[in-house]
Amino acid sequence: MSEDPHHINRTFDEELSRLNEMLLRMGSIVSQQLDAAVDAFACDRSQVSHIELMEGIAQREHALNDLERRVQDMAVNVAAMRQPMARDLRTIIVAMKVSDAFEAIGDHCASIAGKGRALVHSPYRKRFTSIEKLRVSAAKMLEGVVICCRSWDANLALEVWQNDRHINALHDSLLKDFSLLMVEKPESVASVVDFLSAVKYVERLGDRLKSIIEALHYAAEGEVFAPPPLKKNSSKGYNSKKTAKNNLKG
Amino acid sequence: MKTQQNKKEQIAPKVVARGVNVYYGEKQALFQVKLEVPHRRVTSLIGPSGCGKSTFLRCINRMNDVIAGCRVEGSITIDGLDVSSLDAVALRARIGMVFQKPNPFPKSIYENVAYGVRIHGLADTKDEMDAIVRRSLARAGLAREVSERLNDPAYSLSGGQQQRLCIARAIALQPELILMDEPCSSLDPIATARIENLIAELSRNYTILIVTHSMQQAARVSHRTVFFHLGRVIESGETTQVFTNPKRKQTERYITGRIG
Repeated sequence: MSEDPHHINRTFDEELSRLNEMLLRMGSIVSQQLDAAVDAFACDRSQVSHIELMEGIAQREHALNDLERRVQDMAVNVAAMRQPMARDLRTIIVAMKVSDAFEAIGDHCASIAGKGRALVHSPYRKRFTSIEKLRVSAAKMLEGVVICCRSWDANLALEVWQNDRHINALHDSLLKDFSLLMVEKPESVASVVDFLSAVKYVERLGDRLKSIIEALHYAAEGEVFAPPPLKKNSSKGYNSKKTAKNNLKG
Repeated sequence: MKTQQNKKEQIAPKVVARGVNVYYGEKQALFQVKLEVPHRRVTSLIGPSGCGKSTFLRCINRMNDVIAGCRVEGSITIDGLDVSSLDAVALRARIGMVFQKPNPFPKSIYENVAYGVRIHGLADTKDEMDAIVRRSLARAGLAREVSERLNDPAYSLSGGQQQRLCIARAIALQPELILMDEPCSSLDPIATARIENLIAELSRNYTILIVTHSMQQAARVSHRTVFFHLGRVIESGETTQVFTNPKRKQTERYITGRIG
């Protein structure tokens, strides 16, 4: 968890390590959950495979809820029994925040999958596969978050935190493009509204990942995370005409 | 006038230590200790056994003077006056001290509080003495428990009550500073809570310096915390800062139980 030497009382190290392992497990499940959620938008998915996909999502959601409860219980117990100080104290508080955020991300993924399933018969479903770009960005950020959970590295955390800007830029781009589609083809409104709500869930998921990074930074550094200044044209590329065109391809 | 004095107190620290070195024979126990203790605040000294925190405490009221082979260098001032230039007896009348184990005199409860007052001639009449004893016991949170048994031997009290009696004895002399050397280490959690509550109340009127091995106690009772290690001051700061986000790695490792 850090370059610090072990606690004199080794069982305290073991408890913190177990807490960390549960967070990593949650991160891994959330990663599978995100992939499965976006898979629900795949065009070639049969009804049967959709049911299987949703079952898998429900199982993982249950596992996430269970892990979140275990993290909260263990964090409270360790705080009560060890009366931690400094970084140990911050680690335990942050473990509770991180588990809560992972659980919420799991819920967002279930909602995304629900939207994907609802749109399975939509005539625009090919266009909705453009959510895959968002998944790639979110998955990259999630991977970074899991690495940060393992290393508690403040510098890496800053790098990962900035990925949310890409997600936001992609979200804005999709919103713009599909708003145009609704104007051009009013019959698409019902489907596009469902799709855009799924897109919004991914954007919120990015915000949750960002909150995890901020919490991990606080645990590592003891100071509230100060966002780096926004660079001009930082989201260039995602709002470009080329990207806009690609969003509606399909 | 009082406001001016209060302002002065807020700005100038009560105790200032500069370049304090202490030697027990050939062995050096403190190295260039530099420290400021603010007025009417509780300052905790923490650190592993043998790190020099009690040694430093005993430099303030010159208790180290009575230890053969002990040599103190540097300066410690109280309100700007160097303790080494003051008469040791007069100095100790200005500084109350509470030790690890309660050490009441083998006398009555009343006499324990009255003894120092009498020695220093702080009461002219029996009424004055009674008032001082009553006030000191009340401030130490003991008055209600012992009001009907002031003539009972001090040893008839429980450990926690004896420690509060020692605090009453110390504050009867109206000290400017109270030194506490692990005052709760032999007490149960209830008696400890009472003493901690008393420390909080006393800090409104007194400057308190407390040596404790309990990090939780330092966090609960003190405004400022000083971490000693191997005879040096490693870190000194607001207690909340020291216990949530210490600046020095050594402090972090000690308070999180990584070094002893």
